[in-house]
Amino acid sequence: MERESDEDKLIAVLKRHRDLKRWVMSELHRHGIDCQETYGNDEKGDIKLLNLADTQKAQDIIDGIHQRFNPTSQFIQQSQHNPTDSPHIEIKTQYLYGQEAMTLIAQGTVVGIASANAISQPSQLKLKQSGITFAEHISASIFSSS
Amino acid sequence: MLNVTFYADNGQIPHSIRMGEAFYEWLATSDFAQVGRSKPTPIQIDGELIELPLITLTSTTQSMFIALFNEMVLSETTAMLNDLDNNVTQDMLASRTYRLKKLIELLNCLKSGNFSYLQRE
Repeated sequence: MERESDEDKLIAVLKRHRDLKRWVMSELHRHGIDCQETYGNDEKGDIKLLNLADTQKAQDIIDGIHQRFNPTSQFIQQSQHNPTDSPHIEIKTQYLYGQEAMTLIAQGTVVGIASANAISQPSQLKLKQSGITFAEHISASIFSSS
Repeated sequence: MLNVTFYADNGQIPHSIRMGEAFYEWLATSDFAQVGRSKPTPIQIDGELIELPLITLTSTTQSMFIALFNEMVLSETTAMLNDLDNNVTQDMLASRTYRLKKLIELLNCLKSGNFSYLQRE
């Protein structure tokens, strides 16, 4: 069998990121939340919630996704989110560690994170303390388009 | 957003460069994907031992990445000067500026010599 090149692997990462983003958007739409993907290189996040009033509902959905893929995960009390007038969901396909979590918190627009990979325990704690909800270990079998 | 992340093996905090899909796609199809080879590597981060697909930054690999990013920065700077001469739209300029900023960030991490591994996938 031909060995996958690193270019193929990078394209696969990109595809996984896009597929997960579209699946999360479909979950949000299914629950009546208007959202759209951001374009270009928008640093605010990957999915923009169009109605500020949907922020809590979107966070509950992300939390539900987390419970679905991590049924035995430890409960961490979430703090009130610092208000943002531009709520976004961040999509991750790589391991999320503490310093990067701090960058996302400092961004000020991310209210939820959906990840196909792991989120370190210190990151989880920092995110919840900042009122950011998250879902980790989302299985590729549920969101991959092919 | 996607990331290219630099890790040290002395417990120093990693450095992640966050980037949009458009820039990552541009990098994925450039010579960036041809330098080095990712291998599953155990590493300690946030007190957790995990395995990540990492490229070891040997002096040769590091030099190859630096040469590549120097070349890309030069090429993008030249293109930007042409754009400015040709009064291109603000959107096109913004995209070029973003690309240059990220390339310089990547270059600075490599030049710092502080990191032992690079993760691009």
